[in-house]
Amino acid sequence: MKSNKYGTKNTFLQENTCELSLEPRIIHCFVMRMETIAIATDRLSKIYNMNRKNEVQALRDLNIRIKKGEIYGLLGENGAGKTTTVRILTTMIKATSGTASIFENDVVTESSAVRKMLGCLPQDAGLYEEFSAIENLDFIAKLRGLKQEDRKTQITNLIKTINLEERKNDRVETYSGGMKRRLMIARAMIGEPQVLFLDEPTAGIDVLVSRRVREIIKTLAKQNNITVLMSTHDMISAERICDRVGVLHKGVLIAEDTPPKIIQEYAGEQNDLEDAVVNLIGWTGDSDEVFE
Amino acid sequence: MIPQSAWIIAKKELKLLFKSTRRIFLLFTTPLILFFIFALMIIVSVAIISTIEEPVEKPVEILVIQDDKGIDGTNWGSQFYTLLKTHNLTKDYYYTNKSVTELNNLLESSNYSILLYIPANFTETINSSLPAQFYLYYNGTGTESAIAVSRIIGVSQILNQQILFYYYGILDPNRIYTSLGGSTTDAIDVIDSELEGFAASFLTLIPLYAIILLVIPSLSLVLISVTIEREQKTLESLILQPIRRKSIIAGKLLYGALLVGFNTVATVISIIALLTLGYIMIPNERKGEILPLIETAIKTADISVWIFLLFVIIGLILVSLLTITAAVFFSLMAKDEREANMVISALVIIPLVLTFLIAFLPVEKLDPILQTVLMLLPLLGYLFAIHLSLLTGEIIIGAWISLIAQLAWILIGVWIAGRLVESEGILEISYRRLFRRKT
Ligand SMILES: Nc1ncnc2c1ncn2[C@@H]1O[C@H](COP(=O)(O)OP(=O)(O)OP(=O)(O)O)[C@@H](O)[C@H]1O
Ligand SMILES: [Mg+2]
Repeated sequence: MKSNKYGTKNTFLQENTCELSLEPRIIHCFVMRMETIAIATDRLSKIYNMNRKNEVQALRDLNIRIKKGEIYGLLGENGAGKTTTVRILTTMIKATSGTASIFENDVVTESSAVRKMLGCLPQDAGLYEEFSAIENLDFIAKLRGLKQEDRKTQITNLIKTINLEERKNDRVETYSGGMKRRLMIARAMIGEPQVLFLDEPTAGIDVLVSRRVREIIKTLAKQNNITVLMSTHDMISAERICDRVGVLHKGVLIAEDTPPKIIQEYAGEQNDLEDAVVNLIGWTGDSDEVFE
Repeated sequence: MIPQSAWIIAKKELKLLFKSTRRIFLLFTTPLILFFIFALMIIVSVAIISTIEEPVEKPVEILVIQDDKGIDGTNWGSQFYTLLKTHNLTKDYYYTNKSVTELNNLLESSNYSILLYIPANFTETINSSLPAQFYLYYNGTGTESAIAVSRIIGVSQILNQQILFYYYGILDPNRIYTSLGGSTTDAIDVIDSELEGFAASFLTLIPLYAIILLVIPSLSLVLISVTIEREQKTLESLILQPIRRKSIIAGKLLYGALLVGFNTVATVISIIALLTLGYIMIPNERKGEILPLIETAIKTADISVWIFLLFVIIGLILVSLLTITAAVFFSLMAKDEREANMVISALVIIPLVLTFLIAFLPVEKLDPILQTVLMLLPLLGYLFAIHLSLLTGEIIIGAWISLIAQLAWILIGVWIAGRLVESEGILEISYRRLFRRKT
């Protein structure tokens, strides 16, 4: 694990360190103060221009802070703005306003430094269909500047992890949808990134692999201190592995806490995360009413 | 100078190229087409060389049909014939007497260089002080024949100042009059310089065809390599890597340049192979004639010919790169291969049409400032410079300026493409978006 050169400068509670008192809540924060912020956004907004008249506000004033080693789940209905958030944070598109940074590197002005640190599984990504799994991974490994031996060991390990050893030399065009998805997850992990963005990692893969993917993510975060931001519609995954979840609704973050707290606060008699999210989205109706 | 990541991308493209039959087919089309064209040309020319026994310097044959009956022992027609014979001491002209019944047959068969018909009433008309007439049928474009025609007319003037002649043939009669007024060499000059202008027009088209044949297959391969990233959704994984957006563009350009290089080498090799084959096919007794011809051609070419060749080759390389840059530039903004193809085909047609205009319109008469401006244009400027250089017989300074302009266009293209993908975002950029911003 490489540590970031800005590593310890940014702390979780920089802005309210002044209100030191002996209340338990503040002491808790004081302990958290030593923890590094991996992902931070400040009033991040994105407006898509569909044509000259139609605009879509995909994201509105998003403020999130994700600590190093944390697994953060982004939940919300279709079109809530999850993919947009991931795309801005991974430097793929630019925000309309607001800023975002990864380990204090701005995603716009220091995009190269940011890209060095992150691995990403985009929602609808593709692979080079005429290449095999190995060739696909090798190309990305070369672009990340890995040495020959590093490439070999990392790719072998990743292929083993996603359980694709038997088909690793076949062309990707002969793979099933889930096999491709698994390969893309492996691709996101090449070069041992410090921050991992996974846009619906468990979409389209079977329960066994899904469980496997969850284990991998958990191990990476807990053993290697890797930060993970994942968007998902898979409530089981979110509930089981996320340290915190944020619920987006029409581009606005309407709730953010640990899964047990969210369930406790918003779930009805079902008492699970799905119930809580359904209630949250259902309750709020138009986000404007709630937040303005 | 070229970033490492550009090489990685170019290598990936080459690897992908050899995994798809469609792309391999595209890559080999040009050398194959050229191979067949040249093979055909060589087979035909070998066949011609083998059949021709006396290859050049066939004398101009003048057929005379002396039909003049004469009056009271005077026969101006036969005197004309004798005079012609004595005044043309060179062995180049033969005079063959033919009967009038053959006239129509001869005219139909076109089996003559010059046919002179002296009609039956020739003497009668001269004696009655009327202008006598004879007829000349001319068949061909050679300068030798033009000289012969003017000599025949000159001889007729010695015979009688009032003789008229009627002239039928391909050669412009004005030229014959010109040569009568001045010396015969004037006539030759007129003919030569006009042929040169026409040859320049065709020679200008050769680099254009070279560009089309060498670059178009590479152009469509580059186009596919760019648009497929968007269509297959691999573009996202590409831009997520710690490389600069410009490196992606550079990688595609590098790939295109390698393809053009490959195509050129393959074409040159196949031409050399074919020429060797053609040489082997020539009958042994005629082989001795070929090598000295090539030798003299190389020996007599002065330094300006070599500089001109160098200029053409440097220009071809630059213009090929420029075309590839345009392909990358315009396919970056296309949403799929079809849209890219549409835009690029439209763009290819413009220089094609304009080159024909340049080649066949009297552009050399344009204002020098306008000429220089034309030479600055991408692709077209280079062809224009070649055309002007061919016409004036030397490489004009503007030609070198046009080469620099081609280089500048490449850099401008790369720079704008780089800026566009940075400012618009490579994922979001599209023709629709660009167009909307302007309106
Ligand atoms: N390229 C685009 N152009 C225009 N509008 C877009 C574009 N991409 C997304 N949007 C709009 O932005 C909003 C948020 O989209 P986003 O893809 O972020 O949603 P999401 O939360 O990822 O949804 P899903 O769960 O379906 O993946 C949607 O209303 C969508 O229509
Ligand atoms: Mg999405």
